[in-house]
Amino acid sequence: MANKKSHSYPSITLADCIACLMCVDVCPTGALDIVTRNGARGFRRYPCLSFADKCVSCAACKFECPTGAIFMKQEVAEAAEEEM
Amino acid sequence: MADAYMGKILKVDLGSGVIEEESIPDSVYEKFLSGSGLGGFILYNRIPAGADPLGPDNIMGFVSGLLTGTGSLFTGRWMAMAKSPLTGGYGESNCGGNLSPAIKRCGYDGIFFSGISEKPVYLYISGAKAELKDASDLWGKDAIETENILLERHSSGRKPRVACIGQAGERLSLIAGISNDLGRMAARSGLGAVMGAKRLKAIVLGGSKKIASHDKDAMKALSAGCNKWVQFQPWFLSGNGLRFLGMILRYLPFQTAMDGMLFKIMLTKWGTVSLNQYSIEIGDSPVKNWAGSNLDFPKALSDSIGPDRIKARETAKYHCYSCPLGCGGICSGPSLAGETHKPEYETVTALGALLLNNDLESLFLLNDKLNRAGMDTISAGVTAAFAFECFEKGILTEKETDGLKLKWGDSRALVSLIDKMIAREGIGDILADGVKRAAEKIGKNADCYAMHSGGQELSMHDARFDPGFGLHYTTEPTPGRHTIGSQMYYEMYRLWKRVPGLSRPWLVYSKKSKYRVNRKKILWAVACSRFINVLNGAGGCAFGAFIGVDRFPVFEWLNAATGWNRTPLDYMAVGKRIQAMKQAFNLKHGLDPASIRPNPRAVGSPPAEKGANKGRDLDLDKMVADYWSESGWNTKTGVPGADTAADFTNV
Repeated sequence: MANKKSHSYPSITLADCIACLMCVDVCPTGALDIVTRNGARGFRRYPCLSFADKCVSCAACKFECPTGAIFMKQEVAEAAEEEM
Repeated sequence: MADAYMGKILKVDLGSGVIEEESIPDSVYEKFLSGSGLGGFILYNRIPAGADPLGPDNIMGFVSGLLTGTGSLFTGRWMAMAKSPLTGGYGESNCGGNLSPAIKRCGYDGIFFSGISEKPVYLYISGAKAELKDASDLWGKDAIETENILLERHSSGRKPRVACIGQAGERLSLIAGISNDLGRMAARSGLGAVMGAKRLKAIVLGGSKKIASHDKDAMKALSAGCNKWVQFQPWFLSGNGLRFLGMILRYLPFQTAMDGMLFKIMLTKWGTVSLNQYSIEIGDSPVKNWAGSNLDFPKALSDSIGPDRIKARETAKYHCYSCPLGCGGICSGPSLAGETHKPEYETVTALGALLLNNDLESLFLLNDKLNRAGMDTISAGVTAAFAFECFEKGILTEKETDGLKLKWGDSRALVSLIDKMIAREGIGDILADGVKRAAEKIGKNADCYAMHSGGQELSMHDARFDPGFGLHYTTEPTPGRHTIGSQMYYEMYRLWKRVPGLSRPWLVYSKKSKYRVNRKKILWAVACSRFINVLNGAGGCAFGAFIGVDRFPVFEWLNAATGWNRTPLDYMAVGKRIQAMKQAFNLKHGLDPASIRPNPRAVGSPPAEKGANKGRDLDLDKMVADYWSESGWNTKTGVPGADTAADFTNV
């Protein structure tokens, strides 16, 4: 397995996320999943980096996002923290 | 090949087990788009005339939308289609959820099944491999349990997406639908029975292919513009306030043209259940099997199923794929084993006001039961209301109902009856095939109380409130459904903003004017039909389109995604072609369009004696003839012109 710390990971800004879940669909490896969270617009089913070990840093989710709510971060722990 | 579509379909012969790909010429997409158009094209050309809908010659399709996965919003709907066992004509059902992009990510625009399998099977696609797998262990399980088992079984890679049937489809109930994403239903046309007859329990799609888009930057810019409108959400009335507004509007002699942004605000706040009480008050909801009125289901009764009561049970908003709005919801409750999808307005009204049932808990329970069994909640409610009225009239007695006393408003009797329909036990066996078949079996003039059009149970929008519903219930190749057009839909689509030659409705008009048939309103209805066929070819959601085509830029998205350079008029011509093809399908299979009429009660014959729609009736014969004339079809027979027919085969 590659050293994950050398990779970048998606971080989702919930305030900008519209929960369209297009990022979950475009993810080629299934690293993103759906989790119910209390975001800026109340409880919704939001995308989440649930399986960071599956992430191949392709940034497809970032390019798919229609609102610019996803950006790539270097550390998985940091990315997860940012999401919360 | 243009971008946006995959250019291929997958054909699965369930009889022989042969699975093969087929390339589809660009000209097919150019003439019919994908989705409903591509599916209709395959069905029209490949199902032999007179084929048994539950036999091996019927073809069952699952097709994605042309815009699905290209970066556009509100465009994640998939369509199932086959010859309908319910109507005997073209059958189609349309669903959100998460299946539409999964079809494309397997490398296909559509997956088509023919033949009948010897044993229960499901199709599993992962990577480049498509295979039929044994589903004997899944046969008999409900749709939610089936999906959860399949998700667990195929959890090693990318999470697959599933569409499946429950027990209703397995038992060939002609009002069975297809479930996706744990209870989103492609419910109409009885297509679950077609899957059941083919012994196809499910499709499980785990592909990860890229979906191209010609101009991704343009797509994003268009989506950003659309999203701004969707996110506009000012303060709005409470549920009771909305009911009160409906009551005020009922008393006014005039009404204003509906801007879909208002409905968008209601959808964002509550979902479709926003209409639960408002529509009763204003006269849009049928009550007591269409024989009652708002006076039979007043505030004192409807308060318990008001939008705020249902929203209080919502634990999270549910978004279909690519939807920025999220009108769906995940709910829980004491009568439920776990989480369930929030009931929709159609469900609440079909199992509520239509039966004078105001027991909220029973509505959650029935919604969950029917979703699990994979049975259309609209058709189930309409058929139950028919049975209740037959019981009231003495046509059915306790002897036929196995001791059930079907008294209006009795939720316990209703739950028992629906249980019998799902299990096909006793009276439930007769009712499980829908209201038309039930009336034929029961006899004794029971068809007077069977609320359907061409065999399809009518939806929960009253044609006496909006005559446009009556026209579309009658003239569409898929009759009896509310998802195509009405006068109010035309106001919300705002097609005049993009399509030259279409007129803008008056901002304020008298209610009486709605019932006068004139060319302008017929042209609006024809435009709705053509537009909805474009939308269903694109995989678009009507709730997105309701904010207006200037705010939901479907024509611009289509050009940016494909690289085509077409005008909205060009796309409306495509919609015209798709609709005519479906009509030609019905003619090929022996249906007589002129014989299809909704139950007279639904169009004010005789007119209601009280309530919001008192005294209203429709001149349906004139409306239909004028509609066919403006469509370029024979005004007496509904047969499309010869030049149009040639379009369906020569591509």
